[in-house]
Amino acid sequence: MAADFDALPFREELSPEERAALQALLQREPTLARALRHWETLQAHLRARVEAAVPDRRLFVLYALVRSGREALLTPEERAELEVARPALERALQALPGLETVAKDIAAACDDFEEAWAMHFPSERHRMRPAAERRPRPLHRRPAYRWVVRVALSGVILALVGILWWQQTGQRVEWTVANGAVEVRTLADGSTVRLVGPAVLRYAVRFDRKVQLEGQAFLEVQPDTRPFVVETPEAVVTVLGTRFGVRSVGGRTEVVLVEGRVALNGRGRTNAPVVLTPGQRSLVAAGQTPEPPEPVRVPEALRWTGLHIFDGMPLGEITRYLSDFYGVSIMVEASLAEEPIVGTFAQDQPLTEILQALAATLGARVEQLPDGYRLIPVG
Amino acid sequence: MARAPDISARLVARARQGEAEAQDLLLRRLEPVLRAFFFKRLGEVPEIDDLVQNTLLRVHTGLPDLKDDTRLRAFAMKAALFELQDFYRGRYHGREQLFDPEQPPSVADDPGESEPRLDLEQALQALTPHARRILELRAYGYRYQEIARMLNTTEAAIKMQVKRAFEKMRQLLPGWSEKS
Repeated sequence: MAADFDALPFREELSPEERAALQALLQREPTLARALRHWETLQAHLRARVEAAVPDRRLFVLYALVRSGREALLTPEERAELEVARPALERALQALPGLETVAKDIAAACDDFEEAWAMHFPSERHRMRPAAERRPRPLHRRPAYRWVVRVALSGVILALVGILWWQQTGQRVEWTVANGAVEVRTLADGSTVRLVGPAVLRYAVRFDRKVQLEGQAFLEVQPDTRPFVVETPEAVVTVLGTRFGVRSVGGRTEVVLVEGRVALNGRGRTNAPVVLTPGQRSLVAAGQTPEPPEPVRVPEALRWTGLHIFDGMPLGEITRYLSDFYGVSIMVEASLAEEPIVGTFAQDQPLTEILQALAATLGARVEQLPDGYRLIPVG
Repeated sequence: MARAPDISARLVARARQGEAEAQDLLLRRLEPVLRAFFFKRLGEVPEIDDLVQNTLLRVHTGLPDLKDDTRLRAFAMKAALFELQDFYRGRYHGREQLFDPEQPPSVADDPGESEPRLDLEQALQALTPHARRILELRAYGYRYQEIARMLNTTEAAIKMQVKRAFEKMRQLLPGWSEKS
């Protein structure tokens, strides 16, 4: 690898000779030295952010185990510890999307461990013993008696399995969020729920992609072959992978779709469901069929989520929306106004950060004016 | 392939009660499982022996806290996963650095006080989500080859993203490249 700009980001992979050559070059080339120093600083900054976000990786492992459906591996003490740490971990996942990939890698590591275990201790996989090792059958058998015993035993086993299944599936999580509070949680299938209080979400401990909601929630559902079902007192929302908001308030349910497709029906109704496409809303009153879908402006329709959700709106419209929301003037150059933007921001994020991110996406920059801001193209 | 003898709950109970012979036997039976696990995760790296020994030590010292003798597998799995995470984190400790980010480099480049403070957060915002994810994984302690496996791509593609990120940072961070 040549000791030049190309080599700098990967300098830890250089051979001792290449490294010595690079060190000598850095002594002669201040530009190169400065670039490397900045790159190192950036890396150190990111490492510090990761450390601050996940100070105890043990807890992150427990979190990833639960997310991959392995909650049973945790001791009661670990579960309690994780519950305390959960909000901070979920904030960390929001702030550093790379952690999502780490959680998946931990789940993959579990698979590897289980495979290694099964390879070394195969009896736990219910292997059949070779015929030569089987216990010889008694010479005098009573077939009718054996048949009755087998049927009776099968019945007992089935009953026990049924009871165990019922106990597992019957156990439910009840997640309550108080009025004015917002909590985000990732479910066992990787879908995330932002619950906006006052609200309650219930689901089975052995997660089956069915949740019951009272109140308001914004969901990002992971794609899966099994549908994800949200039931409110008034409606049933069936989705595959998508992002949408559900509000069950005052005896009616409102669904606003950001991405994907959802099917919506009234509780107990058997008629064909209403299918929403992105940017549409439908309402269902108790005992009624859903109203026909109507187009909405997503950021405004989902303002209650505490998020700014941009679903491909042109930048010009977004800046008007932000201008109203924050009460400051935001101007945008005509050449940028029609650029569509997809993205989500927290409403408590400073406006300057949001504008900087929008500008960076479009290769623009933010100029501060006496009474507001202006987005202008770079160059 | 030879099959190893199982680890029975009775053996675990004896080991947990402090019987030295049972402890020795249990750790010897666990050792090949752990070796296979770390090999699968990391490939042939010199640190595998240390990882296996450290995990066995975790199991040994944690045995008295194991409340259910039938749950050794879960217990050992968590010990191995915790050890692996410590390994990733440790990749950045004690590593030779050309520059200590906390200290100015010992090269002929002293920006002095006139150099503007780097707005790293702003610079990071300018990266694509994909590039940012890669840099976060790198900061977490993964190698580029491991990141490529996790993101279902090639190491070359990952390095290309890093190179682009580096170039972008050069353009964005003040004082990065203009003086020579």
